[in-house]
Parts: sequence; structure tokens; C-alpha cells
Amino acid sequence: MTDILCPTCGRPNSENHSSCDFCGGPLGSEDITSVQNSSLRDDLFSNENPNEPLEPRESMDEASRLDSLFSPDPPPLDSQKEPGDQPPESLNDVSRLDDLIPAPESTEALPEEEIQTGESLDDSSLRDDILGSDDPLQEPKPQNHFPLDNLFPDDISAPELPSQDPLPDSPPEDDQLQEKSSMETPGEDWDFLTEPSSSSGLPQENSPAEEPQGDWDFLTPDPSSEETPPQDLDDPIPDFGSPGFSEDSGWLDMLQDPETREELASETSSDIKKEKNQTDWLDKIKRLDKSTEHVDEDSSFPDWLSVSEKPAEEPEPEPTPEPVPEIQPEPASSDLPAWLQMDGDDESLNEFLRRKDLTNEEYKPKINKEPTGELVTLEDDDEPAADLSDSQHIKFPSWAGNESKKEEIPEDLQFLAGYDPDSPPPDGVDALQIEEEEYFDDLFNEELPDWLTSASSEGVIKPTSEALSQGDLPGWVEAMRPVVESSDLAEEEDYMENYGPLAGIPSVLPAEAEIALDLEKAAKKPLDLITSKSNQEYVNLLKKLIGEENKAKTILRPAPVQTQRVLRWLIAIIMLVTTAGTVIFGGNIETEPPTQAQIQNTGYGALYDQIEKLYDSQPVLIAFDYQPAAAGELHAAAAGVVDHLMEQGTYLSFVSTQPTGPALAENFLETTQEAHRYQHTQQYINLGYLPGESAGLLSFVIAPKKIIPLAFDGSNAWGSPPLVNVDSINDFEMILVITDDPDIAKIWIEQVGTILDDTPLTMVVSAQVEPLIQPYFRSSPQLLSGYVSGIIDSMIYEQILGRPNLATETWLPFNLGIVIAVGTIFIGGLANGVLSIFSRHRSKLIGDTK
Amino acid sequence: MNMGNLLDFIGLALGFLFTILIFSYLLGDNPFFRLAIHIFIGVSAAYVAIITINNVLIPRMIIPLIQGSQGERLLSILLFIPSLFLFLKVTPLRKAGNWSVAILVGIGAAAAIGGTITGTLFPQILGTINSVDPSAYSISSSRWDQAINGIIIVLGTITTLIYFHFGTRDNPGHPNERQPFIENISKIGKIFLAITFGALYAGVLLSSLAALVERLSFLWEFLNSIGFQLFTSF
Repeated sequence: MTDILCPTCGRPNSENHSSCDFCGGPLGSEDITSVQNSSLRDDLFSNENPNEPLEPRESMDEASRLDSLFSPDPPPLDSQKEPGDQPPESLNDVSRLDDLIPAPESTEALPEEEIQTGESLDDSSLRDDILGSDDPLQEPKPQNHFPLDNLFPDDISAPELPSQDPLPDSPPEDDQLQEKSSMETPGEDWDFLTEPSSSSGLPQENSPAEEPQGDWDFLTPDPSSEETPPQDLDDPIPDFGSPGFSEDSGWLDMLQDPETREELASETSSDIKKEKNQTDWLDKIKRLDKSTEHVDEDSSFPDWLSVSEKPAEEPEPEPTPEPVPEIQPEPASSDLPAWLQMDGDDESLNEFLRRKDLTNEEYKPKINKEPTGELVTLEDDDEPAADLSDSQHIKFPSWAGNESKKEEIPEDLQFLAGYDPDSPPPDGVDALQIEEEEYFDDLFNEELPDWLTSASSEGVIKPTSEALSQGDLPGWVEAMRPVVESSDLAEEEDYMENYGPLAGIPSVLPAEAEIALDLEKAAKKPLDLITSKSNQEYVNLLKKLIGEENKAKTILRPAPVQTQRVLRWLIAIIMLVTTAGTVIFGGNIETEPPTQAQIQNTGYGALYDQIEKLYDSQPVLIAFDYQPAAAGELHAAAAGVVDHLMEQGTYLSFVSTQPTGPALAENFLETTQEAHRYQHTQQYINLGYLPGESAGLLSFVIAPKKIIPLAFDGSNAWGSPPLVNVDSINDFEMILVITDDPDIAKIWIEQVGTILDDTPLTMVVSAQVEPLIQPYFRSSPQLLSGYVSGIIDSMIYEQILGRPNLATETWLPFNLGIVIAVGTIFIGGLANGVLSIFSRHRSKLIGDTK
Repeated sequence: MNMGNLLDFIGLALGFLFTILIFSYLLGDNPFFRLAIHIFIGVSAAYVAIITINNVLIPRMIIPLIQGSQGERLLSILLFIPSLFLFLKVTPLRKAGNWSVAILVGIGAAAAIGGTITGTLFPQILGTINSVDPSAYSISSSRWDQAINGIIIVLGTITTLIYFHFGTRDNPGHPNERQPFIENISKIGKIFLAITFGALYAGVLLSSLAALVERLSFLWEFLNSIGFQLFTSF
């Protein structure tokens, strides 16, 4: 069966028909060239409205057209360039653009004619189809053209050409075959831009010889075609079951699964090949655009061409007729169509091309590729075109986008591929299929210009970023977010305790805060304590004690006159009367002096012996370390000892570790030793107060002159002749400590007595201190060389000395007071015992009675 | 009456007055006693402050800082900085005061511990041992007396130390009590402690009695002086 191709739409029609079944156009000898040009023009500028009827186009196998893009040997265009040919300005821009590209072949050698509009459009359409960033509202903006050799690696394009163009059976009459042959022939494959009539055998009226600008006629809007009403408004619903549809072997079908293609190839026979050549898949796509349901059922179309991916709710733009008057029939350099003119993207394109050759950076848009290698879709396929900006709308021609599913690539450009649609494509198709994946990989590896990357990036990335709101971070990201430490730490440094023993002290650890950190959690946490019975008893005891503290106790009002108070008054009266009477009416009591045996091994005896060893002007250090309250006792106790020292003619040095000590020393001399008439700094020196207790005393032991440089009255402490040679405490001939505090006595013994070599350490202490210092005297070696304790030892000392003093004067009242005190204690104890016996006896009697 | 005698008389009169005020405590707590106590405390504090300034700060810090050598000045500065602990709670330099307090406490504790070990602990242990060592007995007294004294010292020391041993062994089902052996020995130690505290109390009593006699003597002397003056005035 012989079909007649429609010169208008290129679809096969029965030879019996005089008009095309599809477009209604007349079949027969018509000016194909004019139809092609008008078709192309209409496709480019007028057919953006999907409601418009399909323009008749030339049926062409897209595989062959794609093969033409991979032509490894660009024709020597220099030979094609004719002086009279004035390339359009856009092509001049392209040439200028090519100047910037350090292509393997000098771009300067590329004539404007070589920059095929159709090829570039195919490239753009191919690229745009792949990127899927088309918009039906886009102006047909042709992209700048650049040698495809630079875009596609040679290893892909070169070996394909021989196998992609096996068109030996194509009829010589076929103009597309001629176009294909012209493409294969160097210098002739670009003739459609220069001399289409000579190379393609088109009618002479379109020859550039007659019309120098005739090679751009296909760009010239044909008023007739523009004004021609749609010839096929009622486009019939395609027959999806027809082999020509389902088994479309177009280049887009090659994007399908190779296995599918192989199956299709195996199932198809020569009839299929014939029908295939007669099938225009683009028309089917356009027809399918009206019904997405059918497209969904058709798996032969790649997803990115699927009409169903178009948003159904996308508002269809109003048919905007192309500004036909703007495109002049004669495309002067200044009157080029808008899509051929360089726009603002030229710079970006130039930059892109420059970087393309100068750098090896690759741009890989996101492509979802199934494991089978089938190119499925892009991420932004489902993004509405409305999301794109106006500039992006301009960048992509309408026919190059997804919306070209309605219009597809114009037929006029299909011949640029040099592929004969009637020729059987198996060999070439297989060859292309082999390199299909690599082709697209390399295609996407190419660095794209900014305007394209921006469009694709916005189409791909922006929706992704918009999908996630700013605050909708995943949980694991929130968990990884650094947490600023609480400023409580800084506050704790300045925390000051408010109560308790640490009140007022800063920088303490607040126990309350630690407890209150996780009080609830701590309360919920079980205590793994194993308590024994005894522990429970302690707990109960503690609870009882705490409970008793909270209970209010009744305090009985004391009786106005208590027995104890009366007893206290009675004892006080007895003591005062007897003591005062003894003082007033008493006198001296003649006592016998102690024997030598009694003196031996006693403290006062040892002290007496030590003082007896001293002689005139020997320095003696006396420490007045007692409180004024003890002055009555210690003055009487020390009077005889100091008198003895003065009798020996020693040079006395007074010092005190108590602030009141120096004054007491002066008072002691005035009240007890007035008879000796000791003069300050002459017979004695008052060194004053020695601060520091044990530490100060230790330092004084080591270096007395440095610790106390001045005397109590501010005079030179160490200027007296007896003290000139005193450099340490061992230089004193004797040390006498007068104290009423056992701790002070211990300090002197521990700090000084252990350091002294030959200097004796002696003491005059209160009677209450004697039990504590006596072991130091009794120990061996002795840390205490002698001591006098209280009035009793002092009175004995005075008796030994033979010089009665205060101790002797107070001896009678003191003894009487002792007797009264002992008697009171004895009587009190006896009375207490008797009362206890009576109490027990009474209790026993009561118990027996009960 | 010259000025010296007048001052002595005023001093004696004040002494007599405050002695009577203190004695008034025999009748119980009264305002006169509290007045005397407050005066004594105030006078004592003022006197201590004056002594500290005149006898410590001025001669040991100020004068060396002004008139001393370079080393004395540096030492005075170093002494002045630790003294800032006086302003511990009112100045930001309270931490410097902490340093001074730490130095004082640390040095004092170190000196006290060293002196206690070398001056009290070891000598007491050695004295206790020597008390039962006949070779260490002196020839001036009876050896039997020294031996008995030594035994008493050793027994008192051991039993007193055992008395302060409060450790018990955990015996489930039984109250935590000390071992019977320890308990019995501790009773002996308790006797020694009672005797020691009795001796201390006797010493306090003797000291108080001596002070009482001295105060009564003072009162009588003052009265005699007043009566003498009054007697001589007539």
C-alpha cells in the first residue's frame, strides 16, 4: 500500500485521497517549501495556543535529526560563506560568541551560515525538553548557538554517524533525504540557511539567488499562514492502537527502556517500518495533549514528555499571536526575530561557553534515572511553569518545552537532521541506543549557562526549599542543635548564702539548688536502702526527738522564793562574812617554813632554785599572759617570785601575748613591787604586746629583736645593756610565764620549752592550771623547770624566801574561805545524801504500800 | 589632794563601785550588774583596740613604711595587704582577706600541731613510760613511791583512753554496746576523769576564792582610805 504524504502535515494518507485526512490539506503537488517555512514559522510563533490546530509539518524521523546534531565533521563553512550573504545579527552574535570560545576549530572560521538555526533549535529543544523547564507562554527565544562538537564529546558523536545514517533505501525524491545528504556532505549540510534551493531542490522562488535573504524565509511569518484559519480544528482522536503510534521509533522513543525497544524492534516487521516512517509521534503528542488519560496509558512516551505531567489546573494562556509585523520577511540584522536576537542572556551564555571550554567543571542537574537506565523525569517536571519567572519564560521557546508536546519541534527543522523518515532506522537507532545513556550523561555533564542553571535550579531546588518551611526542621536536626548553657552557672558564682553558718559567704555551693534540680525525679526514684532493726530504732528515735521539738512545753513560773536561791544567798553571806571579817579583823598568821624535804621535787622549790642561780643584770623574760580578772590571784602568786628576781638583781623584760598584759605588768610592779622602785628601761623593759599567739610566739623565740623592735612606750626595747647581747630567746637567763590559762601555758611549753637549750622555763600559774602543767614538770626531760601555783604555793614560796608579800597577807582569809567552801561542799553533799536516802526510802515505802 | 591622788581616788572609787555592782549578782540578774558588764566589755575592747594600734600597727607597719629601709617598706606593704581582710565584707578585696585568713590559720595550725607533737604528745608518752621505769627513778625520793606513782599514771592513762573508746561491733539482734572488758576498764577511767575534773574544779574554786579575798581586801582598803580621809578631815 502506497501512502501519500501530506505536504502540509506530512502524515501518510491513502493515495486515493485528494486531501489529507489529518489536516485537510490538499494532497498533491504543492509548494512544500512554503509549507515547511510556514509550518516552521507557525510552530515557532503561532502555535503556542494548544487550541490551535496543528500545522502541517514534515514527517521526519527524530533519530536522524538527532544524528545530524552529532555530525563529527562540521562542514568547512568558510567555503559556504558567500560574500553576499549577510547573516542575521543574531548569528553575528553567535559568531562573536564563538570568538570567545577556544574551540578546537577556530570559531572565527565558522560562518554564520554554519550556525544552523534549526540545529540550534533542536539542541535547545532537546536540552529544554530534557530539563523540562518549558512554558507554553514562553516566547520563542532561540538560544545562542555554539558548535555541538564542543557540547558533545567526539566519542559519542563520531562513531554514531556512520550507523545513524544508514539511509540507503530512502528515495532520492525525498527532499529530506536530500537534506540529509546535504548534511552529510561538508559544505552542503548547512545550505538550508544559505542556498536551500540548490541543495534541497526546493523551488526556485525560495532560492537565495533571487532573494538574498531567502534562506530565512522559514523564519518569516507568512501572513497567509498566520491568517489562515485552522484547517484541522477537529483533530481526530489518535488511534492509540495503531502501530504507528505505539511503536513510534522516533528519537524520543529511544529514551525508553532499551528492552522495550528491543521487543518492539523484534515485533515489528518491514510493514511496521513503513508505517513508522509514516508516523509523526509529535502530532500524536499534540493530539494526546487534549486527553491526558490516553497519555497515561501510553508508556511509549518518556515521562518528561508526558502530557499528563502538565498540571491540569494550569491556566491556559490566551492565544497570543506572535508579533508578525516584528519579524520582517527579510531578516535584516536589525530586524531579526526576537528568538534569534541576543538578549540579556548573551553575557551569561558567553560566560557559560567560556567556562565550558576553559574549565572542566561539570554541571549535573538532578535527573532521576531508573536502574534500567531509562531517563524517567526531572525533579521539576511536576513543577508548574508558573513558578518560573518572566525571564525564564523568555529563555525557553514554547516549542522547546514540555508544552511542545502540543506542538513539538517544527517539521521544518527536522530535515536538518538529514534523516530520511522513510528509511529504516534500525541500524542507526541501535547505534544511538547504545550510546544513549552516555549521551544524556554527557549532555548533563556539560556546564550550563547561568540562565539555564538558574532556571533549572529554581525549578529543582527552590521548590525543595519551599517545601520545607523554615521552622520545620527534622527532629534529629533539632536534637543536634547546640544548646546554650544556662546562665545559672554565672549566677551560682555570685551566689551568696543567706542563712546558716555560711551566711554572707559568697561562692558557696547552694545545697538547695542541687536538691531542687530534679526534685520530682528524685522523689520518684526509689531508695535502695536496706535498713536493719537498729537503723529503724535510730530512725524512730530521731523522729521522736524531732517531734518533741515541735511540741510546746509548758514552762512553770518559778516561785518567788526558791530553796536554791535561799541556799545560794546563805552560802554567799557565809563566805562574805567570814572572808571580810578575816580581812578586817584578821592578821598575819605565823607559819613554820617548809623543810628542805618538803621543798624538794616541788614546783615552787624548783623555781626557787632556778631563781637562786640568777645574779645581777641577767636578763629574765617575764610573760604576763593573764586576764585582769585573774590579777587578784596571780598578783599574789607572782609577787614573791618577782620579788625574788628583783632581789637577785636581774634585768626584767616584760612581754605579753594578751593585749591587756603590758598594762597588768605595769600595775603589778606598782602594786606589788613598789619597794624595789624598778625604773623602766633601767631595771626592766616592757616589750608590750606580742600578737599572733603561737605563731607570734614562735617567731619571737627565733628573732625577738625583729618581732618586737620597740618597747611598750615606744622606746628602744633592746638598747639596755642587759639586752644588747640578746639575739634569741635562749639568751635570756630564765623565762617566767604568769598565766591563768592552761592553753597559754601549753603554748609556751610547746613553742618555747622545746626550743630552749639551757634557759629554764618556769611559770606562775593560777591554781586551776596546775593539774594541766604539772605533767610537764614531772616528765623527763622536764619541759617546765619550776612553777608556782596559786596563793598556796606562793605563800610557801614567800616563806622559803623569807619575805612575806601578798600571798602571806591573803593567806588567812584565803584559808578561811577554803574551809568555808569545803565545809559548804561537805555539808551540801551530806545534806544531798541524806535527802536522797529519805527520798529512796519514801519511794520504797510508797511502792510497798501500793 | 593633788591631781595624782585625785586620779588614784577616782580610780579606787570606780573600782569600788564596779566591784559592788558585780557583787550585786548575788541577788540575781539586775541592771547594775549588766551595766558593769557592759562597761567592762566596752572598756576592754577599746583598750585592746588602742593597744593594737599603738603597739602593733604603728610601730610595726606605719613607721617602717615611712622611715624604714627599702626592705622594711616592702615588708610593710606585704603586711598591709593581708590586713585588708578587715574589710572582708565591705570591699571587693574580700578575697585578698581570705588569703590573709588562710595564711594566719594555716600558719597557726601548723605551729600548734608541731608544738603539740613535740611538746605534749611525745613528752607525755615518754613521761608515762618513765614513770614505771625504775632506772629512770630519781634517787631523791622513795623508789616505791615512784613506782606506785608510775603505776597510777599508767593505769590512769590507759583507762582514760579506753573510756573514750566508743567503738562497738555490729551484732544483729543485740544492742550495740561496748565489749564488757572495755566497759569495765572505762569505769576505772571514769574515776580518773572525775578526780581530774575535781582537781580542776578545786583549782577554779581556789582561784575564785583568791579573787574574792583580793576584792574584799581592796574594798576594805578603799574604805579605810575614805575613812582615813574623812577621819583626818575632821
